[in-house]
This record gives sequence, structure tokens and C-alpha cells, in this order.
Amino acid sequence: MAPLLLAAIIGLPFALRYLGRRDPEEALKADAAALAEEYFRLYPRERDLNVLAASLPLDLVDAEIVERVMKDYESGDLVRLKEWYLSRTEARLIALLVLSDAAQSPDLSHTS
Amino acid sequence: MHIDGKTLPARARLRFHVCVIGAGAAGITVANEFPAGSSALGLIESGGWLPDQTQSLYDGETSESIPERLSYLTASRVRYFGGTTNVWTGWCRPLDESDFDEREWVPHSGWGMPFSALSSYYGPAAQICDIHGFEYDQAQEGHLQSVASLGRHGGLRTRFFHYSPPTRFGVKFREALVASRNVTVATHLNVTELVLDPSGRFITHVLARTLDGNEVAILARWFVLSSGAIENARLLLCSNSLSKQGIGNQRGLVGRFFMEHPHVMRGIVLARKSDPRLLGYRSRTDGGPLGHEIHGVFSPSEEFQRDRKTLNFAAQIMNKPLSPAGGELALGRSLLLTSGQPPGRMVRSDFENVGVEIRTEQAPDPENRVVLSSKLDPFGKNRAKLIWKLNDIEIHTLEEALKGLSSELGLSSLGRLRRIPGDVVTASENAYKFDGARLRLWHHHMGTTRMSPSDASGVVDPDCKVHGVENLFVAGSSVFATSGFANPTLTIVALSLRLARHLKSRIREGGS
Repeated sequence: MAPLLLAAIIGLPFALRYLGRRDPEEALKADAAALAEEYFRLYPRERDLNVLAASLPLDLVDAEIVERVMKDYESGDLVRLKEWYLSRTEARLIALLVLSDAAQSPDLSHTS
Repeated sequence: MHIDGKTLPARARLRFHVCVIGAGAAGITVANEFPAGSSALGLIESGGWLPDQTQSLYDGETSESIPERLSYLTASRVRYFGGTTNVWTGWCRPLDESDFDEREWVPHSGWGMPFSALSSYYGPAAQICDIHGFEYDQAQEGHLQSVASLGRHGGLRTRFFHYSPPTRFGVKFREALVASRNVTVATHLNVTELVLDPSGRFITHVLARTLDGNEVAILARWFVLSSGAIENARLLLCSNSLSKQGIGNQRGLVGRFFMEHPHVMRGIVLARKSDPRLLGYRSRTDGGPLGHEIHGVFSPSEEFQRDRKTLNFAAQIMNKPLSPAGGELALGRSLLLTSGQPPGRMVRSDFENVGVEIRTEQAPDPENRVVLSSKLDPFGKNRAKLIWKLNDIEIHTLEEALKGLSSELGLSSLGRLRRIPGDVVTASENAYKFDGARLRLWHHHMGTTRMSPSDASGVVDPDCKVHGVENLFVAGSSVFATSGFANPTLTIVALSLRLARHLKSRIREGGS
């Protein structure tokens, strides 16, 4: 299976577990898409599931993710997306959600 | 005793031991400290007991960068007995201890006296402002712990404003002052000039005029100028019969270092609707055993200010909900999870957006100043011209305040912060348009006769005596060397109590 699709299959539930239900509402996806697009504009190199997965291990449980988010706020590792001040980990999770969702869309799933 | 200046005969002469010019918070506080049996004191007020045409004497000129510039000088001041306490909103808290210190990243900072020289006067000042049970930020450790438990992260801390009813000084103290055997309240007398003796070291008398043209001379041994920061400077500059630069202005400092409290709604907080932890910050809250209302704000620690090179500031959560900004669902879920709550089925109405208003200290800038306008008042004296602008350090402070607050909100799992996009604008008509954050001023006038031990850097010494003039003192916020973020009234009253005590000791020591 292509690495990209594999990352998407793993990444989407991971992101959704943190950010939303297994089947996200369209509103949540729309919210995330605008923020993610801004993140990719600022950090174009991270418009890549493999790169994102490298900075945010996919085997983290919720408590570990929360801990990372809190550490970001404590250390001031924040990013400004659409004027929102967010933890870098939060921003990456949103980016991961959007990339994963896009990777699972029908026109991509046939690539190998 | 009361004298209405309009009833005095032409060219009357009044004689007191102490002459206090201006009956606002500062002047009334000084006058009250001279009880019956002590020195004869004249309290000279330009206006009457109620607003009248005297208010128009405040008209003058302002630079273009002042918000609401056309009405600023008259809208921000009140010219009748009680002064601006007739309209103030009662917000009280002391300046922070660090506001008195020199900070190497803030040029011209430092009062030349420590906070400890004034701290003991804040309790009595609070009593005068009808704030009892004076315990400031310690209150959060007791009754208000549940509603004010924030401010422990991100370099921010919770600070409280305490609400005076508000005390209207003119109403509260008029009867007692008029009944006092040694105080004469003289209304409708507009001081136009302070007159020096030929040596230039003593004020011999002041000249005052009524609006219908009568001139009165007021003689005294001691003089206290307490007409507000803009008027104090104007009067000293106008008093130029002996020296063209005016009184106390040998170094060109009178009128300089004017400071205001700029404030702007700079952010929006996404929070769980009606989160009880925000209660003490969003609106006035019952102070319980304190007996008065309080209101929490977030302000920076000294380390935050030093590390990020900011001024002092206060970030206030506003009570009015705002329209959705987008991003609520994605961020709301993160907010709930970091607070240990499963998001479940979540909708936008579970959250609300509320504004964040940031008030910043203003750095002392010698180019922000009061000068004499070419426009003349009915007495032929120059009106005031106010030159003012915002500086980079204030803009920087506003931005760092948002970053600090976002960390506080994140670490407390209280919310997520969105910056209102665009630059701070000073001339926008719509305060809530999201194409820029409109700046407003709080009508707090400070700094034009600033305090310093040296006449090279100040107009008054730490006893509020004008450098080079032996019998002239200044009371009020014009002596502030820095502005902090706190409303100035409580500090004005504290300084006035301290000044009165010093003046009485000078009189006792044989300065009569």
C-alpha cells in the first residue's frame, strides 16, 4: 500500500480521535480546512502526511497529545492561523486531519 | 466658608496661608487634611457647584492622532467643583510596585522614589473613595478563589480593580469644607497666572479672573497647583511675566511626558459558554466580605515585562458575546479535550466568542506634550495644545499581551484566542470592524509636571515641590513619572495625602 495512503488511513482516525468523532461533521471539516490551509501556507514543507507524522507520532494516546499541547502553551510554541493563537501541536493535528481526509477521497485512493 | 467669585468687588484681594488651585480629587483631598484650627486655606475653583459655561475654557487644540480629537480636551475633563470625579466610573487600584522602578527597556522610567514611599497612603485613600476592607490582590486567595483562580500561567497574573460607588468628591465633601472654619471655598475664580517674586524663587500671589472680567489677586504663603495634568502645565507655561519659558520650566520639561491609557479591543476569546471561571473577569463581581464590587483583569509579571520588553498592561475579558469568527468547532473540541472533558456531540452554540480589551501603560515620551496654543481664551491667555501619538513600544505591548493571554487561556483550558486582524487604528469610525482595532483613550491625563529628584529630568521633586520654587507644590496625576495601567484616581488621592502631610510638616517647622 502506498505510504501516503497508509499514513492517511492511520492519521485520519488519530486526528479525529482528538479533534472529532470518527465520522466528522462537514462543519468541523470546513473549520479545519481553513485553518490547515493557513498552516500549510506558513509551513509548506508540512503539507505532507509523512512529514507531519514524523513530528507527531501517530501512536500517541490522548493524554500524551494533551500534554504536548500544554507544553506548547507553556513554552510559547504557538502558531497564528487565521489570527488564532494555537499550540503547534494543535495546528499540526488540524493539518493532519485535513491531509488525511483529502488522502482518503476517491480520486486519490486509486494511486499506488 | 464659601465665596462666589462673581460677587467679589472689582480688584479684590484674598489672603490665605495656603492656596489650593483646583477643587478636584487632588485639591479637595489636600484641603480636607487641614482641619479646623490649622492654617487658613483657600480652595480656588474655576467652575461653580454645577456645570456651566466655564467648561468651554477647556477648549484648545489637539494633534491629529488623538482619537476623538475635536472634542477630546472638553470631553475628557470636567470644570466644576469636584472636577472629573463628577463623572468617573470608580475603578480603583494602586500602581504596581514595579511601576515606580527604572526599567532599562523603558526610557525615562522611574519615579525617583520607591513605591514604599507611597504605599501607606493607599489605605486611607481607599477609605476616602469609599472602598473599605482594603486588601487588593490578596482577595483572590479568599472569597474569590473560585471566580478568580486564573492568572497563574504564561507570565500573567490576576489583578483586581475595586469599585468605588463612585465617590463624587464635590458632593461628599462640599458641606464639610464650606462649614470648615479655616477653609474658604472660592468658586468661579479662574486662575490665569502665578506670579513670582523678582528672585524667581517664590510665588507671591496668583491672579484670577471671573468670566465677566473682574480680576482678583490671591495672596498666600504656600501654593498647591491641582488643576489636572493639562491645565497644570498650561498655567505654569502661561505664567511667563518674569521668565518667558514659564514657571518650573528652566529645563523645558513642563508639559512634556504627557501620558494616557490607550486601550483597544485587540482579541476575541473562544470559550465554553458561561464558563464559571470567567465570571470574575467578565463583569463586576460581588466582593463578598470586602463590601464592594471587584473586577479581575490579567496583567504581566515583572519577568514577563522584562523578558519581552513590554510595558505594563491589563487584559480585560468583555462581557458582550460577539459573532462567530470561524474555527469554533475545530478549536472547541481541542479546548474541551485539554480540559479533560469528552466533547461528545458538540455544536457551535456550546461556545461563545467574547472580546478582549487591552489597556496599556504608555511610555513616557517627551514629545507627547502640552504646549501653548496660539488660540487665546477670554482672558487673553493661551489655550492648551496637546500633542500626542502612540509609540512602537505600546504597539509591541499590545501584541505581546495577546500572546501571553493565549498561553494563559491555553494552559487553563479556558479558551482559545483570536487576534482582531489588522493594525491598530486611531481614526476608524467603527470600533468593531474587523479591519483594524480602534484605539480609544481613557481620559486619564498624566505626566506633564513629572516627578524626579533632579530638575534635569523632572518638574517636581519627590515631595511634589516644583524645582527652583520654594513655596509651590503640584498635586495630581501631572506628577506621575510613569502611568502603569491602573486608573489614576486612587494614586492621585494617595499622593495628595502624602503632599498634605509634607506641607503641614513644613509649616510646623517654621515655614509660615
